[in-house]
Amino acid sequence: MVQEDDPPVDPVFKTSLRELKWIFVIWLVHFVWVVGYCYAFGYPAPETELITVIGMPSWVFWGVFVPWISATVVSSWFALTQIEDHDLPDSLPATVTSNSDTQRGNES
Amino acid sequence: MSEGSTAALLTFAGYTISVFVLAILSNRVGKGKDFVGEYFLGSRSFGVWAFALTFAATNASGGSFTGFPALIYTHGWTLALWIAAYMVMPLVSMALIGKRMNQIARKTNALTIPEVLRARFDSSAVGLVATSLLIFFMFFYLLAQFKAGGIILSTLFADEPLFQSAVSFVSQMTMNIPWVNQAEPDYLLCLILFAGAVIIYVVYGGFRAVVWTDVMQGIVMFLGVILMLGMALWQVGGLEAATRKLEKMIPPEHGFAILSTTSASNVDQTYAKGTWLFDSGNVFRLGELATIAKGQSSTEPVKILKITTPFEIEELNSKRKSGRIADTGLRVRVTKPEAYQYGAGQTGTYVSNPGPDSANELGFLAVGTAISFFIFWPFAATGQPSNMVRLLSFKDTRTLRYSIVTVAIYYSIIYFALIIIFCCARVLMPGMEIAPDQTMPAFAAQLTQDAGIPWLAGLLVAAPFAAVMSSVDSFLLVVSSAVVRDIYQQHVDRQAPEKMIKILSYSVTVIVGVLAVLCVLNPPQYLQDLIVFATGGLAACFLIPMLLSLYWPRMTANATIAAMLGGTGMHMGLTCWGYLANNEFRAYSFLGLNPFIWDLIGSLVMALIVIAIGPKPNRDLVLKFFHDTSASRD
Repeated sequence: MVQEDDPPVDPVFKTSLRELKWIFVIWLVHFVWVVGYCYAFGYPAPETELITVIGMPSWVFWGVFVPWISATVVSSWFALTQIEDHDLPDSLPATVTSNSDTQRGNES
Repeated sequence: MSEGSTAALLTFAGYTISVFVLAILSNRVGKGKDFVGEYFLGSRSFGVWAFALTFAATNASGGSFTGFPALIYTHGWTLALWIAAYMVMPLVSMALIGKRMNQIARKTNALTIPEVLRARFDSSAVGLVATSLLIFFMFFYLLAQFKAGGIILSTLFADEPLFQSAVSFVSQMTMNIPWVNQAEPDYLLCLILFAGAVIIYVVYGGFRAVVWTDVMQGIVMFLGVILMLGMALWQVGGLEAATRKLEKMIPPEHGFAILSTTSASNVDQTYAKGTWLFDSGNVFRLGELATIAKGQSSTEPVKILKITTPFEIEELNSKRKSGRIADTGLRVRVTKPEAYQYGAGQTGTYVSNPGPDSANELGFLAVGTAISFFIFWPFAATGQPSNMVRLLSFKDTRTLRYSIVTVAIYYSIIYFALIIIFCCARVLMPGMEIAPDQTMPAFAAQLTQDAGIPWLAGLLVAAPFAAVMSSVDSFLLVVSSAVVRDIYQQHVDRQAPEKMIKILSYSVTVIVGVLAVLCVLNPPQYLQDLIVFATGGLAACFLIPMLLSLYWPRMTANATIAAMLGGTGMHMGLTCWGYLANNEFRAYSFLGLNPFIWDLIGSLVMALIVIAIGPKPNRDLVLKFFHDTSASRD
């Protein structure tokens, strides 16, 4: 679909798409960590001795609490350093226009 | 008048006044700006704190402070796994589509979600389908939140004498009005107070007032949770003590019993729901109002809850002996015990997965359900139009980035604190299984009473009230913007003067609010299920079409409509299947997975099929939205 004389790819689209892929990766890593760990250690057989870490069941600590801290740190790092800033276009006054009208308005 | 109830009234009064002050200020700030952009989107001018807290508060609806505490109380630590996906929710729901959608909305001057989709494909049909589905699902949402607002207020004011006088007055005034007279007068009064307050400040201040009140509500929620956490941990003796006690707990038994006295009564004797009953060393709690009729010595079978944890029985018996709990002297003959389907008679179920469950023999959170919820929470939140519309309002990308950090930290603290608080509640406050939705206000009252500061209960209970209010105002504005912007301005009068749009916007907001109030005077039996239906439906309808529209140049108008209808159709189909299979108004969990996952698959498959067989996308639109046309002009 892309042709040689096409203008360059929109930078907001390009960076947003890259960020989207990394967000999926971050989600997936935490998904595997949380569900995997809790499945292995959070569904104990009856009469299993309860082990606690700082007052919570150990499966909650290692399977939810620690990944939660990790997710918060990674989300913050990603938002502060990996999401790129862009100048977003200014809005026109909110009259109703068709798409083609808007396009003409932007170009004029 | 008790100190606590006076505080509740004063808290509500102070809170309402603050909301109105913010609405007045918003109105002044918005003067002189383009009306529609200001009323529905606050002129896209919000900075980090306003944007972050409005996003956080809108998402944390009344359910976070009523339903979620009830679930923690009933099922224990397993709720940590159930809610765990909130750890990535701020990043997913804000960053996945935020920057790109805001860019397209600005480029096309779109103020609503249907408008973004319509503008992206230059297709009125896309806009119309999106608007219709949005109004359809959103209205259910609105009903549920109005109902929650009425219920929380009536709990807050229950012991207030002034409120009781007002209830009597309302009861007399409405007794001959059809439909209205079927509502409980206390609920009716609270619903009117709540709805009146919300409608007035939304109409007067528009989106800016909604955002500013969300900021205040977000702060109230945060303070309420932190205060409760401190008091709960202090009273239970620390988290280690709470977990160790929770480990020893055995799920109670529901059931029915006949209550009797030794001699026939001269008058009708009633026993309120929640009354403690002691018989032969056993302890029960009454699950509904019980009456021994005049001349009788026993009741009809009534709902009871039998406490089964030894240390709870011991503590309750000692409170009875010391006179802190009244003893009715009734004999209790259990006629129909209903043990938990999972966890009955076992210790340790509250500190492990899947958690005890009274109705499901697999327990509360089977592994398949845990997997489903880790997918459901962040992606369903991304697909909610009330969240999406907030992503149109931030002023620059820096605001978005810093807001993600703010919301991530905010949610980490709030939700983890809630889990700890209500695990403590399970240990400190036995027998709330009779009314789990009352766990939050009841625990707030107990904590403050035991700490000797009952006046604080008003502030703590304001937290769920704030949560409900911040959701209602947003939904109200989303529905009215859909009517004014996407229907009237698009299809009735494109050149409507600003004065006309202003009158119409105010009128629609009021009409939608009043209609919602009339509908929840007598809430339908399956209202809670309707909330689930609406949440899933909205996400099923909007997530895939929005993602593909923003990120895939090959997406077309027809495919967008197909994806919306595919997701909605799958959602409706599974709901019908669930109704036929289980006689419940709840979507069927095919292969044990959350119906939302099947909805998304249905939506995606429909989009792919239509793209494969349909015409190619309009090249001008692809150039406009996926290429930097300004660069070529330069």
